[in-house]
Order: sequence, then structure tokens, then C-alpha cells
Amino acid sequence: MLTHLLKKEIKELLMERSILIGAIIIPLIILPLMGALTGLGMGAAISKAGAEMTIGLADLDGTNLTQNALPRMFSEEGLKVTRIECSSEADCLRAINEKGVKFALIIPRGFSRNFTLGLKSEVRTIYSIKSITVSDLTLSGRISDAILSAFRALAERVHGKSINPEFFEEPISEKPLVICLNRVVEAPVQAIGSMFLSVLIGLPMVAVIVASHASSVAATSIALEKESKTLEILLTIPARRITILLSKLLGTFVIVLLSTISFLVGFGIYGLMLAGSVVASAPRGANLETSPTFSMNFFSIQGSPLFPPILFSAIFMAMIMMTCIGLLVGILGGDVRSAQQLVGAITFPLLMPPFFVLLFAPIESLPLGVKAALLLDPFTHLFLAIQKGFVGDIAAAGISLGVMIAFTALLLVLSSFLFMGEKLITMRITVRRVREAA
Amino acid sequence: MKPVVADDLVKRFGSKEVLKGVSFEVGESEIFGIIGPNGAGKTTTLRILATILKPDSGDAWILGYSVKDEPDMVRRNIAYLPEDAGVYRHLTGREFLEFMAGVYGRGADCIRRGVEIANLGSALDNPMGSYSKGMKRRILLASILMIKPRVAILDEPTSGLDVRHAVHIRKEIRRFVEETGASAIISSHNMLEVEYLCDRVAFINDGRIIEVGKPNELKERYSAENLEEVFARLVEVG
Repeated sequence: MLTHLLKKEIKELLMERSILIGAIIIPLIILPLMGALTGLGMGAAISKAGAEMTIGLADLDGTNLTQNALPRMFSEEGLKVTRIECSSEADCLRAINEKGVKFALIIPRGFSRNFTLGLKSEVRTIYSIKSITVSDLTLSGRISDAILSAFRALAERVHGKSINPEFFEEPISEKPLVICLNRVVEAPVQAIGSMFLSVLIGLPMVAVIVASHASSVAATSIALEKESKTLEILLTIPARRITILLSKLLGTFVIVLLSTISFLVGFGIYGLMLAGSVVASAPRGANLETSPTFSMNFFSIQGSPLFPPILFSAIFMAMIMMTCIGLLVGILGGDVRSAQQLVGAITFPLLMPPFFVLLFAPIESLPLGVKAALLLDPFTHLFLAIQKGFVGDIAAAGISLGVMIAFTALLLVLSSFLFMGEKLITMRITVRRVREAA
Repeated sequence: MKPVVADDLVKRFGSKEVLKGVSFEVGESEIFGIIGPNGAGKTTTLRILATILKPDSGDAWILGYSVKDEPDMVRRNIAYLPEDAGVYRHLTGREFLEFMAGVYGRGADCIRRGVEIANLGSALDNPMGSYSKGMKRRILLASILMIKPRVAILDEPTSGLDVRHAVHIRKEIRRFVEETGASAIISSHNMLEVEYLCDRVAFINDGRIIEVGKPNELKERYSAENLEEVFARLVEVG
């Protein structure tokens, strides 16, 4: 009995084209494609990271230990050293900025004497973060680890077997300084990285969820009318088709707006919780009360002042784009199930590749072909607008928003065209006929 | 010009020609039945009259307005009940009547009339998702007849209903036409129902009208006891 029922179920489901495409064929095509694109992104990020493991060394101590032994340790850890000539910390900061190095450290006077005595010295490390991609953040993390390893190796070399384990564990007291978005922040790079990751992953994720929800609501709105057979009555009332389409758009918009508000509130709470955990993980000795630079500046990293309007515009446009895609799918699909499957099959390949690729590498670092393919995808511009808006590249963010507006207009025209004609009714007939034929 | 005129309607879906030149006229205060087997072209004909589909050739006029060129004007004068039409599950029957009265620009009198035609009692204030098939059909018919369209287009109005609901609906259609002087076009594959309800009928088969006339005249012409027999003889002859 079960065999017969199971056979019938599998045959029915597999003959359903939307399920076949959405659940089986699309993953077979899209996941490998995503893997290839993400691999390219990661490959670019890794080669970039390998090429950029260079640090600037400002040596204010000027001893044999700091001039010869320490650079050797850095080399053994895979770091290339560029010497920076300066005479004070402020002077060094200026010189580092002028040299344009991404990573630097300042060895203070008296470092060698303290180090040979087994006493920790404060070493200023400077990280300059230019973009919010995993590649930059990963690179920062790798360099931070390599620097610590180099100092440990130096401690082992200087003190031999008699080394104090506590000194070996933490041979220097790192005073991290992060330069990002034209602000100087006294905080560990990992903490800033966490903050950036919330922008890099969190905000686009909200945009993806909101946008996906919009397409789903819009597709359901029309497909439900088809499925429950209320559409034909609706189409014969004395109202213009454009008015009916507009009511669908606005209805979907209201629902998705409510959903967006709920997501943003939820995301705000998530952000607060994340910020709380970052503060809790601040380095020992970084007293919030006695380090006003840390406590004030850390929370001042909020991106460009134009970022909030750009973010909301990008999410809003994504919502409208997806609503239009949903309407189109609703018109094409025969029923709610088909529409839901189709909407997933169409939006998943549009949303996921740019999301994953741009997570790992900035678009500028990608091979030309991948870059061109991504730029043709309107949803790439959603993520680009968010990223560029955050780092204050308003022109690039504006261009991305412009592309989204143009694509939305195109979709609106197409939706209106299909909604005006009899395709709205006959499309279902076509799907049925194909299914019957199958 | 008669309220409804269809002239040589042709409709294709892909390579399949569903209507092959359908022509007929419907007069005032007349209930006109289009009868035939499934797939004969009844629903396509009614969808063209209701401006949902456009004919590939030929045209139809409702009160002189072309369904091809003036669909907005046509829609102001018709009301259409599709076959197996559904309901908005979360609206109550009363809310649906209010919605329909609103889109047709009608007032409280119209809604009262709808409530009377539907005759659903306290169930009118329940969500329509909880309605039986018969109740759904009653509320839909009420929403159409209450606005007093000049032409009511009803596709299989009693299909799948039990006797109690079917009788109610037939009675309301007849009353509507008599009271308003409007025209009604009904499609059905239930020939006995059409014989009872319609003033004139057209037999449609394979996209063509094969005979038109009053039920009694047709029965007499083909020496048949009912319209089913008339149809059987027409198909045999064809």
C-alpha cells in the first residue's frame, strides 16, 4: 500500500515543473555556480592577503634587538617589514599614514631593556582598514596573530628555557589603534572586525530577508487570486487594470513594510546585543572610564552620515524590485504552490551569488568576467550600495541605487504589460497544458 | 441593436482553435443559454463577453460597446460570475457585498438587496472561508445581481450544487431578469436546467454554434422529449 502511495506522491511531485525546477534543477546549477563564484572571490581575497602581509616598523628604541632580531622574527612569521623613520609616536603616525601602509607597529624607547628583563612593554599597533570585506578583516586578524607569534619567538630566543610562562604567553602589551572610515579608534581590530561584520553580513541579510519576503507576498497575492478563482471577478469589475495592479503593489508594500519594521527592530536589538558583547570582550586594562578615546570613538563608527538614508533607500528599492518580480511570478504561476516555488527559483540565484561573493572580496578585486556578471545582477547593487554607503563612497552608492531604480522601472513596465493583457489568465492555462502534456 | 451581439468570434490558444466563428444575439429581458459538453467553447465565449479574453477575430458588443475596443465601457454594464469562482476566505459575506457595492459605486440599498438575494441569515457575518460550496455560490450570485447589471454573464451558475441551493439560484436569476429587464447569458452543460431557465438556447459543440432556438421549438423541431435528446440528434447529424 505504502509503495503505491509513495510512487504516486513522487511522480506527482516530480511532474510538477515548479518543484522540479525549484527544488532539483536550480540547486544543481546554482550551487556549483555559487561555489565557483565564491571560490573566485575567496581566491582573490587569499592572494591579496598573501601579497599584503607587509608591516611598517617604526623603531623608536633603535637597539640590536629591535633593528635585527625582531625583523628576523617577523620574516620567519611570513611578514615583510618596511622601516618607517620617525622620532615620536605622533611623528610615527604621520609617517605611517604618508607611507600608506595598512599595518604598522611602533616600538617604544626602552623596549629592549624591558624585554630582556622579562617585563612587558606597550607596543602600539596600527591597523588601517580600507574596505569592509572578509579579505581585509581576515588579513588584519592574520597579521595580528603573526605579530604576537613573532614576539613570543623573540622572547623564547632571548630568555631560553628560563622564560617566565606568563611573559611568554603575553610578551607585549598591545595598544591597538584602528584607522577606519577616516576615524582613529583605540580598540582591538577583532572588535572593529565584529562590528564591520554586522554591516557586511547583518545588514545585507536583513535586506535579503525583507526582499525575499516582498517577492513571496507579491507572488502569493496574485497566485492566491488565481488559485481561489477570484481573479476573474476582480478583472471584470469596472476598474482599470492599472488600478488593480497598483492596489496589489500597495497592499504588498504595506505588508512588507510592517515586516521590515519588525525585522529592523529585531535587528536593532541584535545590534545592541552584539555591541554589548564587543564591549565585554575589550582587552584587559582598557578601562572604559579612564580611556575616553576608546569608549567614545568605538561607538562613533557608524559609517558615513549619509549611510542611513542610503541603507533605507537600498532596502526599499530591493523591496520594490522583489515585489515586481513577485507580481511577475504570480502572473506566470498557476497557483500559490507554483508561484512560491518559482519565486524561489528566480530570486535565489539573483540574491545569493552577489551576497556570498561580496562577502569575501571587494568587487574591484574580482576577475573581469565575474565582475561583469555580478554587475548585471541588480541585487549586486543592493549589496554594493550598502557597502559603499557605509564607507562613505556616496557616488558609487548612488550609481548602485540608480541601477536598482532603472531595473525596478523595467520590471514595473513588464508587470503592467502582462497584467493588462490576457496573459494573466492564459498563462495558467499554458502551465496546466504543459503539466497535462507531461 | 440588441443588448448582446456576438459576431463570428474566433479564439485560438496556441495552435488549438477553441472558437471557430461563434455568433448569436441576446435580447432585453431574455435569459440566453449556451449549452454544450465540456471543452465545447462555452467558457471561452463568456470570457470574451466579460472582456477577460480578446477574440483573435470577430467582435462582440454589449449595449453597443465593443469588447475589443471599449472593454472599460463594457465592464461598467456587465457582471460576470465565473465557473467555480472562489471567495476571499477572510472576508465575511457582508464585507464582500460591501466591497462589490463599493467598486460599482452603489450604496446601502444595493447591499440590502444583496443580503436579501444571498439569504444566508447569520452566516453572512462569518468569514467566507467557512462557507459551503452552495453558500459561496449564493453570495457570489448575490454580489452580481445586487448591482443590477444590464447584462449578467453567468458561467455554470449551479454547477456542483445540491438541489436546495440550485433551486434558490435559478429562482433568483429568473426574478432578477423579470424585475430589471436586464439580459442574462448562462452557460451550462446541464441541459435540463437550461430548458427550465432559459428563454432561448444555443447549442455549442467543438467551437461552433450548431443550433439556436427556444427550448420548446427545438424539441418540436427535432421530435425530442428534452434538450439532451435534441443535442444528441444534432451531434449525430453533424
